Amino acid sequence: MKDSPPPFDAEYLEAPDGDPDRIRSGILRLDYILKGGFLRMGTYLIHGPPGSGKTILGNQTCFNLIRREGVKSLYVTLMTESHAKLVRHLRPMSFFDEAAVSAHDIVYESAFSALKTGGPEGVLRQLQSSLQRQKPAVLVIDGLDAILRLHPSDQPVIEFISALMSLAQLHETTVLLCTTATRTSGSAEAAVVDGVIELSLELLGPRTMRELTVHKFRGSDFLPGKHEVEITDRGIQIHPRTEIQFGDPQGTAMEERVRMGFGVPSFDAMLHGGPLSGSATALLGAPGTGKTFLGLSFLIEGAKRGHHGIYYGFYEPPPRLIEKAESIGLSLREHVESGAIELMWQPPLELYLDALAEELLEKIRREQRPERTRLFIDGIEGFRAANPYPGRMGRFLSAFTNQLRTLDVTTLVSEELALFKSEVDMPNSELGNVVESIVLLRLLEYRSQLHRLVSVMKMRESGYDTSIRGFAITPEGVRVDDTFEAAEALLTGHARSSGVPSTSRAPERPKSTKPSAGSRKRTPSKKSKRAGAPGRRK
Amino acid sequence: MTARILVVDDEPDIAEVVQSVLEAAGYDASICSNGQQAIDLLGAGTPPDLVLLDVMMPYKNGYEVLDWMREHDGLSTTPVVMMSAAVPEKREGGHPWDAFLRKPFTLEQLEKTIRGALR
Repeated sequence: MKDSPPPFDAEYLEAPDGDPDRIRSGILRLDYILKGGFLRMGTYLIHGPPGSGKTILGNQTCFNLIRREGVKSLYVTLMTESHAKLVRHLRPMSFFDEAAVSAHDIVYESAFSALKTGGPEGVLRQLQSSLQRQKPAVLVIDGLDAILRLHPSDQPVIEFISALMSLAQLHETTVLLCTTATRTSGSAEAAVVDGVIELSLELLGPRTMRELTVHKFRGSDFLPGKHEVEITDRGIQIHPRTEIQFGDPQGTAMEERVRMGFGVPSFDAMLHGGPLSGSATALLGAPGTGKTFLGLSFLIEGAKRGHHGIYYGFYEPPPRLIEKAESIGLSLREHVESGAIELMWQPPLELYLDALAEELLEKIRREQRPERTRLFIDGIEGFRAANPYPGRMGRFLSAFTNQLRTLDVTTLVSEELALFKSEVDMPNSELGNVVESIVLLRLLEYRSQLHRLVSVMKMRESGYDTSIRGFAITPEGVRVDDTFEAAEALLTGHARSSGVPSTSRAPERPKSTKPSAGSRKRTPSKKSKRAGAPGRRK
Repeated sequence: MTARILVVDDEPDIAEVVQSVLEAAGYDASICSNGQQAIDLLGAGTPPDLVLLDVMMPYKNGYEVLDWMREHDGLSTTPVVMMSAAVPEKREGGHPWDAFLRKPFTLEQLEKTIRGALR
């Protein structure tokens, strides 16, 4: 499984079963994390606090198996929870099948009375009878805590679970034991069962974070660590950690590398034609510097060349983006209407980091377009906001960009810098390490005017022009001017005059009768090497 | 004369609560928690006036108890009200019930159904 990408929703549900020794939960990506699903006739402990999703996971597995394999399921509760209430809460979920309940393909039983009158042995007697009658492929026992509360010591619990595992083997049933008990980590029951899966639920600031961790899985490999869990009306969805899925790059795309220009002639010239296909470029700049316009120009140029473009943003809904593009003459609307460019937008609310990556990567893999793909991620901050763990972004970005490279996607990702800071300080310093190219847009305060500048900071796979140029947003689109040679210390944002008149759009000083010292007229085509500037890369 | 009702349900909150509600309404109610217990109880003593029977139960489910009752003298005409969270199944060849209560039901629905079945 590690060598193949995770499955898509529809394709997964329709696909025939693989390994006959496995029983698939049908919960997308849980089976991927378990490298094919639960092992048949195994007994697994699912533990987590109330609200973490255990009951949904158990029921979803039952209903999925009924639908896919035509088998029966048995759901036994050890607590006083009403089955009617349980069914009512499950009804809105898309996996729920009323007909399966009516037909007794899934049977709900309570073993609370059996536990009360006969203890764990009473429960086992009832289970033995039910397994014999129903012959379910999966048995879910919800509320193992009731036994643990009755018998806090290890021995009765070990005996109960051992007997249950034998029963399960005999009746060829896979067992999921759900519990809210917190003693399970390192406990006797965890040692006895074939696998332990934790569903955690935590408050991180104001935000609820649900995660799934496989602590043990006898007889098989699994994807370790925490994976995001989302509960929706589709049931429980797992989003495996991006860096564990794609941390092992499968090589790069074999397509011939071509230049992916922006359609802005002077700028493409700075990039020697544009970034190479399959590469990633970071576009850094403070608010208002023109990152979105440059990114849209990149996509529109791609559309003109027959490439497919994806805009993935967090801040501007599509209608507003189109309107904004039109304000500077960018023909975004026609390319969106033709399908050449897709606009994907997620408001930056409580998102899941791996779900974001998954959405994009699966879309690209599923579509398998013959034409090249350009991707503009407008605001890597949207991904950062979805990440609750400081220190994870570097590994995530590395895995994410690696996978985009493998899919031969040419990616442009913008990152917002501070507005009023002299130093160029990347909020995601790791971004600089994982991209091939870095382009910097700066606002420059010069002679009481704000100017925009563009410079190429890095191009790993190619030569580039090291000059710093004026960058303008005009009603005819984005324009890159000549070298901004009139000033020094440009990258600080607070330039000081070098004594040489600028060829940018800074306002003219009033003409004096005496020529100023050192003034000379420069033609746009002359490029002189400025003192201290790095040499041109070949 | 006080009508005697047997409540058969594996869910203790249903069985015990329904029992106390029926007693408060003037009925004489007893409970058991699975289908086999119900059969043992019904076979041993005087038949009740009505059986409130859950469908999904361990050992013997509600339909199995109903079929057993209909094939036994003294119980074949005892009114049976089935209870379930699920939509009732169309049973080929199975014995019919007298009424069906879809869970969760209200007190009013319970009382009305029992009055109707006892008539």
